[in-house]
Amino acid sequence: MSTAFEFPKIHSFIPFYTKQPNATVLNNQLDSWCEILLGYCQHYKITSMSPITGKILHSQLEEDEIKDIPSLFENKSIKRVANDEFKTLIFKHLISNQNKAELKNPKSPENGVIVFWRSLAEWAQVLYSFVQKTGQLGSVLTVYELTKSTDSGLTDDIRNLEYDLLVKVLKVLVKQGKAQILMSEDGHEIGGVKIV
Amino acid sequence: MNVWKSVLLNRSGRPILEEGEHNLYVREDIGLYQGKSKVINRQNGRVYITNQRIIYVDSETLDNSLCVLIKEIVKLESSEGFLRSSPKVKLFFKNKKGGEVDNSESSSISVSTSSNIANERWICMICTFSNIGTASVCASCGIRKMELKALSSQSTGQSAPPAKDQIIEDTATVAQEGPKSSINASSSSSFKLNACPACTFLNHSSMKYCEICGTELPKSSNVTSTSSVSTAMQATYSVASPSNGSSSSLPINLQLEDSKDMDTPYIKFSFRKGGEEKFRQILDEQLELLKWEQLVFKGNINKNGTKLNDDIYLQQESNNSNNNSSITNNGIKSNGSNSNFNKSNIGIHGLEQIGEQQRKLNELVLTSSLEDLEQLMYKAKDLIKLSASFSNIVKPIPVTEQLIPPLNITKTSKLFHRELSRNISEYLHTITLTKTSSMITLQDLFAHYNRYLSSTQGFGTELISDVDLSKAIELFNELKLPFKKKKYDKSGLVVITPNLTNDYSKLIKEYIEKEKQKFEDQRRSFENFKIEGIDEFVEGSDIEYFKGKSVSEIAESFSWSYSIAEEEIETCVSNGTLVIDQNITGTYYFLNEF
Repeated sequence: MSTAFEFPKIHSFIPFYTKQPNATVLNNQLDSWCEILLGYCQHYKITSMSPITGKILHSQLEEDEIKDIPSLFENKSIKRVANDEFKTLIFKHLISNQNKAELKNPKSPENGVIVFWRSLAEWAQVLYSFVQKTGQLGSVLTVYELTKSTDSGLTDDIRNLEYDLLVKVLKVLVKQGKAQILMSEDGHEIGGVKIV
Repeated sequence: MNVWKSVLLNRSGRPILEEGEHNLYVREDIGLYQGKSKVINRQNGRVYITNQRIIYVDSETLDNSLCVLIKEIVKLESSEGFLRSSPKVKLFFKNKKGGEVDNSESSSISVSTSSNIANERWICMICTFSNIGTASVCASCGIRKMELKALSSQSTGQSAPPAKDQIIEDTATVAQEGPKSSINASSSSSFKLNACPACTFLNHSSMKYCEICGTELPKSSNVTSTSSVSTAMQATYSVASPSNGSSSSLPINLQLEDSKDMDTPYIKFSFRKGGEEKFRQILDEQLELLKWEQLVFKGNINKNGTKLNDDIYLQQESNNSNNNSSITNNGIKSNGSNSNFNKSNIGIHGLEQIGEQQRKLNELVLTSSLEDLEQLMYKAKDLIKLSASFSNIVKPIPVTEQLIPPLNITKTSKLFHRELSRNISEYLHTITLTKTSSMITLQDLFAHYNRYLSSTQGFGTELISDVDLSKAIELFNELKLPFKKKKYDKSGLVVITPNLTNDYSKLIKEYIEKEKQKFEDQRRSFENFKIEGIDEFVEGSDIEYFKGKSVSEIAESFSWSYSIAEEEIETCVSNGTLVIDQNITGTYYFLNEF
């Protein structure tokens, strides 16, 4: 990942970092935030973030690249930063108004949210076409083979995909009747996936 | 007849009081009359009543100031103002020749005086020409009339030389004043003669040493007995009178419109702007007080005599006058009883006396402490004028201040609130709400308007009350005045605005747009500097980004008060025109770009 994400102009608008008192304005403001956030996550392949601190919890990028990702909620040139309360509000808006994110665990938000800059259906499509392209339809694949393996010709799209997200994607495929999940022996983890 | 004395003034144009003297009353715009004619150059001044004197201080030339002694006043008389003539108070004076009388006698004396004036003749000392009594200089040679030659034995006061002192004939004063006064001494029995203790030669009373043998003569005393007209009352006054000191000996350049009136036995104070009643009242009180004090001084008050009210006072006075007559020729005798009087501080009477003294002391403290304040108030107009003249130097006046005709209407008038409403509207129109965007809170209007009133009309101005103000403002609509009241629902803030403008958010928006534009221009020019390599302009400046506008900046640019700006901005925020930025340095406002 060489190029930096180009923030839209509104990211340098000072009032953008303060929760607006006017409801309509606030709604617009949150919409703008969500738009930027999705674009930002897509650019840096961020799939989950902390809804409280705004910290990146998982990105498909390499470790050292993640370090270089600029902060979304802070603009150093105008010396403004959104406070945690406001960040939570943004994520709430993202989850309930735009359905572009989901809490990993509804009971404990600190576990983070999965950001759907690509919808689950799209992810399922991506995954299915990868299996199809590599001629592995009908064969059983492990989670490792799907996301981590270096020799199976993984595309960047699904490489290093977050486990939580993968589970959700597979569930979509199961619903579509395109996949079967084989649970591991202890019944907690997915042992393998057979996509047909 | 000359009752006027010169008076010493301090630098601020107030009379220097003598020991034990204090101010009781002061009044402006007063002119002086002697008899029926005006005293030239003494027609505009203020008059102080002290416990000893009535002092006239001329407002134009301080040197023209005069005073008269209260103790010489016999009688007061008021005359109402009529058409263009101002109300006046007449002051009748004791005749300097001892022809002074109490009230009951004065009328008869004045009658006889007037009838005698024409008949009386005097013979000139120099040319022996027989002059008419009214002439003050000899018709033949122009030499001044000498009193000694007056033909009539009737004491009238006409014969006194104008420039002479106003000391009443009396044993003590005659002795003190020496030869000059002694001329006044007697009209009935030519000279008072003083027998030499050594050779028994009868010397002229003005001689200090015997003309024959040179022996020192005894001070002429007890001459009163020779004076046929000296009465008990006169003795009373003269004993108590404190000496006038040096002030009386200064020359007074007194000119009357009609010089004939120079000798009339009364003077008049003309109150051009009222106040005569109070003047009269205070003077009456003072006269009474003086009489009382003199009685006390003379020891004519009974041991347990306390001046309580008029009834008792009158009663006692009659007693005293009886006493007086019995001790007429012996003032010394009464001194004994006087000392007794002072010692007796025992019993209920003693307590009462102590209480009385305490009250007097309190009164003295109060009046003397307020004197300075009074003086300040007196100079208030001048001070305001002075400060106004300085304001030109201190700071240039931003707007050429138009004066609004002041409101000349009493509060009780039915028209008052309507007139006040119009006046406030005029005020707002010319001074406060000059721009369409102007607004003023009710509180500010109240304060500013009252301040305006006092600054334009002086301290004495009656300020308007909050009730009057709100009533006047309610009338704006009814009177179709170009202002209206506006109330903010949220905070209940009430402001006055011009009728025309409604949409302040538009104005604010335009303002911030303009400010932002200004900022952008500035930044561009700074960036040009940067390109040219001049960095120091940019360093540390807040030029990197538009920081928005704070409430106070907006308030200032519209010359609103802070609370108004807050309200208007809130309106803007709630209708989505403005967005806010809250950070550690404060809250700033931006145009909505969302």
